[in-house]
Amino acid sequence: MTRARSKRAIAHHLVNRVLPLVVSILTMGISIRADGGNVLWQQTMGSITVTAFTTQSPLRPGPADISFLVENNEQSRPILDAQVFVTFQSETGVAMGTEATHAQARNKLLYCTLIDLPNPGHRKMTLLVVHAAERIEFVSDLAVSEPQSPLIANWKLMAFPFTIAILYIFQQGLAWKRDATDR
Amino acid sequence: MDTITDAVFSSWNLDPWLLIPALVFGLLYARGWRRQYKRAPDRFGFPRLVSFYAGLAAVLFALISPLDTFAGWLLTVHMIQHLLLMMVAPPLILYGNPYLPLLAGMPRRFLKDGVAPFLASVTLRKVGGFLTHPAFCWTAFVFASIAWHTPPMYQFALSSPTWHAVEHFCFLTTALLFWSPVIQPYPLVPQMPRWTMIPYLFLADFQNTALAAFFMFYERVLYPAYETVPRLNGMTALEDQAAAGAIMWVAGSIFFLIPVGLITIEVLSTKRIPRLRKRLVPGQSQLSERREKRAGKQSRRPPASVDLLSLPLIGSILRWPHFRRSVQAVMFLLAIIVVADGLFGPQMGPMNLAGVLPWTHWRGLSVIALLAMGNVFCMACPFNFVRDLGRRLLPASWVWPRRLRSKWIAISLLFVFFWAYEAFGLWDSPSWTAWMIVGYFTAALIVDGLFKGASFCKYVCPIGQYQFIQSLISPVEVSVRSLDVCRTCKTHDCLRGNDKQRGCELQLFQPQKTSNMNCTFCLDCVHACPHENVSLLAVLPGTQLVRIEGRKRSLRWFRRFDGAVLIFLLVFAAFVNAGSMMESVQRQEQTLQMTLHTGWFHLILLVSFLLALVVVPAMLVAGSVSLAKILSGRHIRWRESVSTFAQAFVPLGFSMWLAHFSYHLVNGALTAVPVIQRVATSAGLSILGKPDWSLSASMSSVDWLPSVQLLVLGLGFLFTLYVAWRVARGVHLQFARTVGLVAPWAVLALVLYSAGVWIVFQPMQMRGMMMDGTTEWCISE
Repeated sequence: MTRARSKRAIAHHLVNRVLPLVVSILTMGISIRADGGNVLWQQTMGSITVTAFTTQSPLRPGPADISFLVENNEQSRPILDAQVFVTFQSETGVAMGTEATHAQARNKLLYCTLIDLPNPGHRKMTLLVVHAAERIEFVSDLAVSEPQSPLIANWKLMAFPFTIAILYIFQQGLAWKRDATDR
Repeated sequence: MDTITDAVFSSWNLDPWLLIPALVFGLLYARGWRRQYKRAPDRFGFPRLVSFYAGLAAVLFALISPLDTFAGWLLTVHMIQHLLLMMVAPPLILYGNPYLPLLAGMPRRFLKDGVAPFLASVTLRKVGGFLTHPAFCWTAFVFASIAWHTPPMYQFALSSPTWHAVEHFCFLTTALLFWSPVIQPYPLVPQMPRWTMIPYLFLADFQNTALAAFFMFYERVLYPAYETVPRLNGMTALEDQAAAGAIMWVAGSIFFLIPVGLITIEVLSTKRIPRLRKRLVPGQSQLSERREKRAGKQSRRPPASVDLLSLPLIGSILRWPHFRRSVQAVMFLLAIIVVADGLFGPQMGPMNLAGVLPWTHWRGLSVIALLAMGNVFCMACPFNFVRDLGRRLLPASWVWPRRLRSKWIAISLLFVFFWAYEAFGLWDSPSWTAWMIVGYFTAALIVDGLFKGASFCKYVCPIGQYQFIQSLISPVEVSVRSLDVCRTCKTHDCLRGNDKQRGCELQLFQPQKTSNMNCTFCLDCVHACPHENVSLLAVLPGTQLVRIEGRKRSLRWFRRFDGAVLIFLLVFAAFVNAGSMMESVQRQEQTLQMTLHTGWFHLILLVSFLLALVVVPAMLVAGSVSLAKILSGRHIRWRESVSTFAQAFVPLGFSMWLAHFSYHLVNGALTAVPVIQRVATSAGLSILGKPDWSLSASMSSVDWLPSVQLLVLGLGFLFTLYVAWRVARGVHLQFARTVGLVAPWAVLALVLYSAGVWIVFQPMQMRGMMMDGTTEWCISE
């Protein structure tokens, strides 16, 4: 085999075989997150109004993103240079804290935090906004519903083999018919 | 720009679910367009290419740009996004005549075997004709437009990202249908006279105007979601709604009325040439052209496979004569260290190399290597290394007895291993693991020291059988580059060897070899062939299982009953082995162990394994054979049926092994670090530092792993169905009878797949890793 032919074969292999495989695996396997979504609550304290958003509605155990829009009431403009700290305290008293940042947000007007909610129940969510010389605390309740059944949560992955199998049988039926007609 | 504007314009949503399909469509179109352009440059000119990509870019811009990010906050932005999806992108895409380039861009075989039956189906063509009829297209577009703008539907879409995506998909597809009769992309046939497009567009504009006017003049906010979100630009929700209506009215009308003007000119023009097109479906013309072309030419040469030995760096390494010996030596050294630590180190799995490396890392890595390349473990086999050294002392002159030339010894040993793994808790018993490795070395040394060839590998080695079966789905195969060279070869060095290099010890004759079965990837044949005609060739994973057309002498093992039993044992063992990791099963085992005498415990486990790996599989397989006979109405001998359909289950078994071992590997990847640190410290090497046992106890499960496991199982299940279908098709029955023949086997595969899914969802005991309490115990000790 000549080197050129070998190169062509590699290119052919990559385009026809490896690429579709990689693409399908990536498409199936990648899950993306998105901030924004539904409004959880809106509170005003002093000169600052905070609106909390979440994509999932209702929130369930597992990874979740909660994002916040911090606005200046007087100027009616978003504040982008604040520091936002979030603390979640469970009913048993276990607390976990994190900083919400623009870097984690898709919508760069928002401060986003990614948290892993371990179990259902109510949590106290405390938001500390530090802006200029101001430190304002917002407190709210965060309800986490019961987890979905794994079958429902993974229905897409469970359905895909059956969808493809049914499509394939249909395709084979058509091919069979075509071959019979040709003969 | 101020910081807020800057933040708004940097709010992009680079969603791979959108980017990857767009990339795929883009690549397919480019590939197909190049071919179509060569054939018909007037029909597939450069403007068509530009138009298609502009349309694709418009779709992407609508869905990944800040438009999408702020669509939930401002109705005006949402309206612009919808206009891009319904008015801008579809006409541009359709002007690119996308059907033929997209079809031509597909891999030939996929187009011929996968897509062509759909295109050729009379029923589907009728359905396609109905779907592309202007009456249907208009109705679908208008219905989607109105339905999704009703407050309940719109609110629903705003509250759920999935339904929002469905809404956009509806808009795009119905818009593609709507604009299709207007743009008339080749080779779609106009189903109504051209002049009818004028009222077609006018009526659509009327609907659009009515909807837009409703937005503009309605005095209440239609969508309450916009009242709850922050109003950043100072506009109230009602003003925003009115502005959105104005955009819809003005921009929408422009997009409808410009084509009306152009079509009117076209209809009134005297130079208009009647379009006499042959009634075609996309792809048909291309296929017939190809058939004609082929008739005049010789059959196409099949595309050459990628030859790993021709690759620049990898090829040189693999071709190096001492490559295998070097890798084996490293593995041998590692085995000695593992055995020494297993015998003399702490007798706790997670703290010992014999508890971590073989059961967490080696198993996981070898199964991934099987998927990524091939039988890499046999290539680097340390047992083989020892027996080669031993052969210098031992005679190796006897011939392996004819009666034992089967897989039955290996099948028995595999069964004993699966039982012993649970009965003796091998994963948590470093000394047992070490003795097992020593036993393995001894067996390899004795068998191959006394008998000729690689009798141990072929007839005895349980690991080898596991590797042989699983490597049937591997993407690399030791194979000949050209059969023509083999036809002229008289010496058959690949089999017999020569003065410099021994031939295949497993008696595989390369020109007749069509799978990885019994191949240890030793590359002896590669080095022995004087014509350099044997190589490591890339194949589509699993191709070896569907090569049933050429199944004669070379694939004889497929017809062998022992081969089928081996496959079924490994398939069922995959599920039993993974299932025994479940916490509920482990609790039962522990209760039995505490309440019963050791001997009784082992006996009960033995009976359980006999049931799970022999009795139940035998009953299920026997049931499938009997049902297949009844449903297909074809008398097939029992043994033949089992032997033929067994190969179909290889992918499903492999997927369960992969799901199981990858679980251990991903969760316990770092467990080797503290153990290596401990061994190094014991050996007086303080360079690696003190053992960090917290790495051994990092038991937080990886969120994405269950999804990947389900995906792997789903692919294995699908591939099993596919191979079973191909096998059944080879029997040459009518379609319904073929379905009957394959149905019981498909049901068996479904049962196994469901069992695998159920196992994945169960809480698992993390073997080979330390619980928090245990860590403390270890540290205090």
